[in-house]
Amino acid sequence: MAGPPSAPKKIAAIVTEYRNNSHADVVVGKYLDGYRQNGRAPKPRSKIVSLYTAQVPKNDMSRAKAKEHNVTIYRTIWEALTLGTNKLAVDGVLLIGEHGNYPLNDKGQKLYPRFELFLEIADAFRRTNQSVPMFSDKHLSYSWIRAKRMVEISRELDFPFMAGSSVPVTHRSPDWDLEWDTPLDKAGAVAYGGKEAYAYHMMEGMQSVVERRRDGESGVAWTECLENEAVWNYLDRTPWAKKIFDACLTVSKTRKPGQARELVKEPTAYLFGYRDGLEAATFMMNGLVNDFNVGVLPKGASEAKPVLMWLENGKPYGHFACLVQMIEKMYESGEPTYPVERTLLVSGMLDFALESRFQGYRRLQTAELDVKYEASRESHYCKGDPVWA
Amino acid sequence: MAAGATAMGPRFLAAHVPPPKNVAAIMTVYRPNSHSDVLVGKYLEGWLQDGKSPGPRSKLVSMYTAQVPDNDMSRGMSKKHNVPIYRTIYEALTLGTDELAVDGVLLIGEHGDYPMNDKAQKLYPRFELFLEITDVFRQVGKTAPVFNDKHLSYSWIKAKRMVDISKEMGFPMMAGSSVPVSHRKPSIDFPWGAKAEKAVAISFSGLDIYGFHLLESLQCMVERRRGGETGVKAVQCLQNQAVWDFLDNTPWAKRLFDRAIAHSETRSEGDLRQNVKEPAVFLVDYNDGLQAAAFLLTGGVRDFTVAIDIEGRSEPVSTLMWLQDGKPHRHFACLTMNIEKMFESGVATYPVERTLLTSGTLDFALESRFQGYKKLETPELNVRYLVPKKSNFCAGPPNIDPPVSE
Repeated sequence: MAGPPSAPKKIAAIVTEYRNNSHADVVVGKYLDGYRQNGRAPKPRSKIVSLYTAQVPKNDMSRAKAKEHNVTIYRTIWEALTLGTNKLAVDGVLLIGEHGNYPLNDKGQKLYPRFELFLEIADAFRRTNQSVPMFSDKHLSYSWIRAKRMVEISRELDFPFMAGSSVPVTHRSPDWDLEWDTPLDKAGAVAYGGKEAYAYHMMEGMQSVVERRRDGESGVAWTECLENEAVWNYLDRTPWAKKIFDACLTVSKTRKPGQARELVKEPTAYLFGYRDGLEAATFMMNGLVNDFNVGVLPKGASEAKPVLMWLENGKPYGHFACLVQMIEKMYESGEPTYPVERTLLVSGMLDFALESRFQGYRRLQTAELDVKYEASRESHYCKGDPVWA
Repeated sequence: MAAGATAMGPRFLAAHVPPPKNVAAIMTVYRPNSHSDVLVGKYLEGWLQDGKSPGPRSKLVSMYTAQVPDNDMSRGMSKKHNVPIYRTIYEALTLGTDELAVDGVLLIGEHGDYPMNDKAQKLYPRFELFLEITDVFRQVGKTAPVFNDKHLSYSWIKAKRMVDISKEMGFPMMAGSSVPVSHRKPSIDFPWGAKAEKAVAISFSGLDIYGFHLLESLQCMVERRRGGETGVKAVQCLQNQAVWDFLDNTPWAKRLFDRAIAHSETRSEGDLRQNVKEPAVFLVDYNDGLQAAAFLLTGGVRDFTVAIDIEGRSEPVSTLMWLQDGKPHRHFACLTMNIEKMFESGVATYPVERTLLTSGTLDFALESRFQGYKKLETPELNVRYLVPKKSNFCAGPPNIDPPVSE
């Protein structure tokens, strides 16, 4: 029988920048203003008690929000986690290293300082000899090496660590997940947006489905990037990829009428060969769709099974409410809701895929990406139709 | 003993001199006239940065640049001198292996596109880069000496943590400005063990960017006083008319001010108070009773002078700390010479606590300004350290190569 409910957890939000429509806005804003960000219930149980902003742009909203909700903004991460004392004074950390003025490198990666901010948080854990659960928004890092180190440190310091995108956990159309332990042969996805930022969402959406396959996840053996004409050629000569591609278009809610080849001026494909033989083909199709669609071909199946991962196209971007619900589960239970290895693997897949592109679309062997983990039987996404349907 | 040279012949060289150290440079940016240019450039192209002159003994073996601006020169230098640039600090320190592959680390976190906060501090990511460097040390189970250019951090809390980590992990650490170790005119030091009573330092330019150098010019002198350094108890910043009022109402400050500025080689013509539109002063009260006033006089001077009253002496000790106003920025050769001593010996040439204290004093001075020029009590700044008698600034006139310590 459940005991009396414990006090709401106190959370420190460590963000790069907090302005209108930033990730800090749509995540922290749900803690402050409720899931629909309208000042009304329902709201997450946990309370934001401190804030740190790496940057303060002209359109910053953190100062006003902090005043409005009586949240203290600190000049250092140390102070945000200890609330001015010498001990850890929060029950959880939210690390939102998305958005802000950061340079692009020559691989087209935005150099968000997630690893750097993580190291500062972990240093506060080292200093106080205490640790609490942490959620890191989106990919762990643009760099596989840094992403791997973050997970290693979380094991060393023994704290619950979760990460990733809202795409795998938002509502789906149809409301479907891969049956746990299904033997899977091929997979794919069709999405839109920037080569790095949104390709990541697409890949993690797909990964959240394929990780449920028979024998669990054991990592990725190779990756290859294709662009432009090479993408259409690949589709022409790879029937299974075309099958999944076409199936994805049937569930998209934004599919433009017309021929893909005419609508999409600069297609990109990221191909992956998993270690257990699963092959995946993911496509960035700007001009054809404006949403995230995943498709799988179970072993022996003749038809691909597609699913749309459904994002709300305007404020308050309700898919982040689904993400916050998943984060809340960890803060309350002390266990990650799903393994951080999902995001570790996808961060690595993306880094190597962009490396393939950088090296002239070479197929790269990725022995490093031997990330093994098992997904739970239980699905983790928002069931049923969303409020914005 | 002159760095980078020996009086003995080649066969003794082979028998007795250990191989040069390998050094990694971890930088915010490397572009013309940046600190990376004038420091790393000496490793790559010699003391005169002409590609011909001798230079430091240590070899630069890897680089990391946090930013790559349009006028980046790291890529060109990397190619020219066959020094690889790595995408991560981990790789720069292990050279692509799983072990520490360098004997020393240069952390140059000055220059680059970083925001200013509301205390007029530029948020250089020195603490963040330091955490990454030391995380590599944790990962591979081995450490190396680290030099951090300029203040440890704009933040006292971060600066202190950096020094604490270096103690915890047991590696030599040095930091700070080139000003304390450059040539002096006259070539004198504060008499070691003498009792200092009042001190004045004068410089120019921005509160954060040069206020740091100013405080180091002061600290490198007064740290030699009787009883050693025991920290700072209060800090206050004043600006504009309040600065002249302070001077006019504080006889010791006025007297030492005049003595210090007499050494300046760059004083503008005409009335100082007309030339200096926005004077600033940092008033520093030390725990042992020493009082100091450090002035920034943009428009009035373009150099660093100090004057300090000593008990029992009618004349204060005073001098100019000379910076070369153009290539090859000789004062950085003096700094490099001192860094090299640490890389070679494994012992910091002077204590990192000097820069811990100046970093903290500067943070609190800017906090004082932010709080409306309030005098702030600073119990946190109880930084205690001793320096040896030996001086470390560049001896003689600035044309001896390689540079030699006093």
